[in-house]
Amino acid sequence: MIRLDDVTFSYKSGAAVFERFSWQAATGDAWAVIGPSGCGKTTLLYLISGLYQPLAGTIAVAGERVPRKDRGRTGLILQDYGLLPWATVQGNVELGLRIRQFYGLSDMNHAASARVAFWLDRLGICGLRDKYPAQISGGQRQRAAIARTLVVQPDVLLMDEPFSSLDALTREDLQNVVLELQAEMGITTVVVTHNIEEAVLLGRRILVLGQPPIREPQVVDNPCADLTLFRDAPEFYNQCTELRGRLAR
Amino acid sequence: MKGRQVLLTVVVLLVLWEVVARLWGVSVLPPASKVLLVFFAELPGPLGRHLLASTGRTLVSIALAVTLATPLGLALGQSESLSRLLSPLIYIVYPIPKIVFLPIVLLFLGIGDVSKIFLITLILWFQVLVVVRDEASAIRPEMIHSVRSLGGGRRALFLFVYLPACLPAVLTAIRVSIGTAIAVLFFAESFATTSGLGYYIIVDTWGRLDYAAMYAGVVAMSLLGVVLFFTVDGLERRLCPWK
Repeated sequence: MIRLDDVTFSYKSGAAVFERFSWQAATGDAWAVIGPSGCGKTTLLYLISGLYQPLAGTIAVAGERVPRKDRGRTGLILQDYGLLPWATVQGNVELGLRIRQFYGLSDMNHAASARVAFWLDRLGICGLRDKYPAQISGGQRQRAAIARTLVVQPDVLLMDEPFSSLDALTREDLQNVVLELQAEMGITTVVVTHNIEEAVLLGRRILVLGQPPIREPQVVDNPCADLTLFRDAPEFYNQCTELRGRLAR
Repeated sequence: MKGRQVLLTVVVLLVLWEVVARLWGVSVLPPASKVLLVFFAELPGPLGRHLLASTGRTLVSIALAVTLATPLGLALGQSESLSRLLSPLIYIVYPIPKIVFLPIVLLFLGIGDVSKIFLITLILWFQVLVVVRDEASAIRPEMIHSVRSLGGGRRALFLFVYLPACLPAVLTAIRVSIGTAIAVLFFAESFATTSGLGYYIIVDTWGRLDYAAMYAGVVAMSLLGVVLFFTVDGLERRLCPWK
């Protein structure tokens, strides 16, 4: 589903972040990416989403070379939500559809409107549809950002530290939403986080990034993530301890 | 500000004016009641014609300034290299009071509408340019990334991000510049022309020592500023409800 082959990338002003880096995620996989600040976690997501271009190597999603023709098919959810302050919750959720309409790719037809209504309802923000982002809480904003991404029916969901600015309860609530969506939709997800517990909870496989330049992917398998009530299971704590040790090395 | 508050303030000002004028009793300060009578009598005639001329010049200037400054401001805000190239020029020219260019503008563009519109456009253009540039460069990259990730290219970014992001600042720039623009218009209309409130106040009525009509002209010019100010204020509330 996601495939990086010999990818090299560096920012204009700095040394290489990735150097001949190869990695792949299968369809329906749930990945978490963890590593210290500045290791290239966000850069990896931006490369997959096509916002950054690699200097060398190739990236493909669903067999299609990145940047994809329909970039919206690779959903990206950001830490600070990226909502438009001048659009209502409904306006924000519709944004991807409006952009497609603007480019003549599709119409805001009945099916599209129904999808908007469905995701507003599914994420519990139906009652907030006429509110502006400044009028709702951080958790509600992130729900709107998730709805906005899912409305355009992506086949990959990339999340960049999506819950790091939320309080513990809201964070837990939204983590459960992501787990439910993974189970319901079987969508390929890649969640970037600096939180060990979150990585263990949301990733059936965990990609550990060290200091750049990153050449080899370090992967930690986390099969217990499929367990029900994994958050409270002893396996969860064991996996956290193991991952913590791995990061400390 | 609410409509009732505005109305009350206007009434208080008129009453104060009436009282001071009647107590003082000099011809150079006619009472408000007399001025208002002249104002309404002259409005369908010469005063209305001059008011229309000034209003037209101001509206055309605003439209031109916004149309010409917004694209360049957006380009400057998005392109660091373009900003580096042009910012020194803007930095030097921005603080110069544009009214000093009046004689030069008159020499090059003549004494008709064009010179007056050009001068007011120039004043507003700088204000709008600077705020649009600042707003466009202050847009958080995350917002741009999220729109691009939904498939938005340059044109979609312009329509869905840059334009609405800059709209409140553009309206604020126009609102705060209206006073200056009308002051410059008044000055520019006060010589070498036969239309506009500047002409009506300075050349026509003041020259004839017709003080009541002169004050009616002042009221008309004040009204022009106040109505434009409130119109932009209303537009901001209507177009930028998230503010």
